[in-house]
Amino acid sequence: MKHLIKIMIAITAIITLQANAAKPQLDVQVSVVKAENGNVNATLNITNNGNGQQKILGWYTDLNEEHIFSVKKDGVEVDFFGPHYKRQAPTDKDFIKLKSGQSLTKTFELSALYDMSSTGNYEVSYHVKSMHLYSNKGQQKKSERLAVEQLSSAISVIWLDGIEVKGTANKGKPGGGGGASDCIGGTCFTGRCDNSQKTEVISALAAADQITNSSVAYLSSHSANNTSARYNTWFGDATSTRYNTAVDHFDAINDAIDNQPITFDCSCKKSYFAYVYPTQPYKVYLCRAFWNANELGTDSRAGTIVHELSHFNAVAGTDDVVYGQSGAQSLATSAPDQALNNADSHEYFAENTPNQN
Amino acid sequence: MFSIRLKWIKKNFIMLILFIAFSSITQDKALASMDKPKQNCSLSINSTQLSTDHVILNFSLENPYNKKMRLLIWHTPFEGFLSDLFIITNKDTGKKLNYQGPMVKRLQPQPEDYLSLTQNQRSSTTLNLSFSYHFKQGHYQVQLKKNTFHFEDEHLTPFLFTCETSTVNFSIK
Repeated sequence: MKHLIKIMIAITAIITLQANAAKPQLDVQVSVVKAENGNVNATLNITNNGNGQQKILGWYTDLNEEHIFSVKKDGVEVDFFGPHYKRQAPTDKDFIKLKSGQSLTKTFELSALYDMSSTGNYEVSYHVKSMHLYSNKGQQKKSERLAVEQLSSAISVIWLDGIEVKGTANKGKPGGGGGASDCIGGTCFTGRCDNSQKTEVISALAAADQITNSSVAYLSSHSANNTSARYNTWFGDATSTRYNTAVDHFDAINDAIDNQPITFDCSCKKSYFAYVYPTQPYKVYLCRAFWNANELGTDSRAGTIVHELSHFNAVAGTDDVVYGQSGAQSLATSAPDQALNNADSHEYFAENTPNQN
Repeated sequence: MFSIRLKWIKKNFIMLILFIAFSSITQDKALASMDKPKQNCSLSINSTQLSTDHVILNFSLENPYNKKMRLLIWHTPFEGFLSDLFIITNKDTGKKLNYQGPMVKRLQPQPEDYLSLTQNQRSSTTLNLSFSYHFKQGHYQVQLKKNTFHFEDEHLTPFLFTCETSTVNFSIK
């Protein structure tokens, strides 16, 4: 047993020795800065302070390729939402060459890939380990091939004020505040939403809550034989059946905002506003036109959220019968039953722009 | 006398040709408008290798206007599954199948949202319905949900066309 331990120590020592022997003189520094919009930018600098040329595997210099930063909040490792690739062994072209004295500098936005939405002290450092960090060891001896090489930086510390949830949205939601997924007060995020986007979505959801509450209030203070311009413009002539459908739809949209776990995904880069899969509540995919829209008003962020939630079969199961304000107005006149099946009609009723009583 | 007539024909030769050409064009136009309710749209299901995960629908459309047009492909089979395009009913249960694909809210049509069709040109597309609807063994019928197609001519004048297709029956064994 004693012998075994001695042999183990000896082997470990040899591996460590070899790792040290192979370690090039690369200096790594990380500096972290908070942007005005809440995003967190980390600048990575790797400098070759040795005499000769050094190589480093390119994947380990890119946050979009590998998990290269350790982020801790108040001493606890923060979840990483970036990709984990399974790759083949590297070839020579995968290595970046640094001449003596040469540096490599890259900046990465961290809050899209690490949950940095809550208040606290964040410690960020560069730390990677690999069997192929500095060279392609395919031709070397087995012990050398299996040696793990590491490269680290000092820790950079930053204080972040968390993203606050305002208003009454999310009040009854399960799973708020923590958990393994990337959630803030019951609203969750996927698809690399950065802190700035999360802040904007939380605010848009509060605005959606506000216009939905206004819609529910309108519907409860009127009735099928006592509608006004706001209802008639977007849903046409009322019957008690139609009016009750409108009531049910807005109650369901309101329930989704207040009580259901809504997830927003920021990965879409298309020109669309947004999209959903009606059979998959309550996940909403946000696209470019959403980020360019105003928070309130016609075709706004708040209205888009109402539109998308109305599509879910578990909410109102609406379709896109016609698009746009003029189309929705014609539909209300020509086919009121279809207007109650049209997502945009719900959006425009809720947005109520220009304002009608 | 004969020579005078010949002269007259010579003189008016160009006018005559123009007259004949013009009358043939107007005749074409008249024929086209008489033909109007012809089958410009067609929907069919490929019956070979039909299975629960392989339900291939063919859709084709012939330019219904006698000129070059462009079609807004939103909500048509030409853009694939970005909205609920079909009404599919399981005839054994009488139930409508739920659309499993995405529904997209868009801003303005982009250049790539139009399909150009020259005069009489027919364009077709195929879709695997099983990507967006869950099938089991049984008897089904499928029809196009939205049949108002938005065309534009070269002067951007809008034309609304009703795309009449029949209901197609198929069985999955």
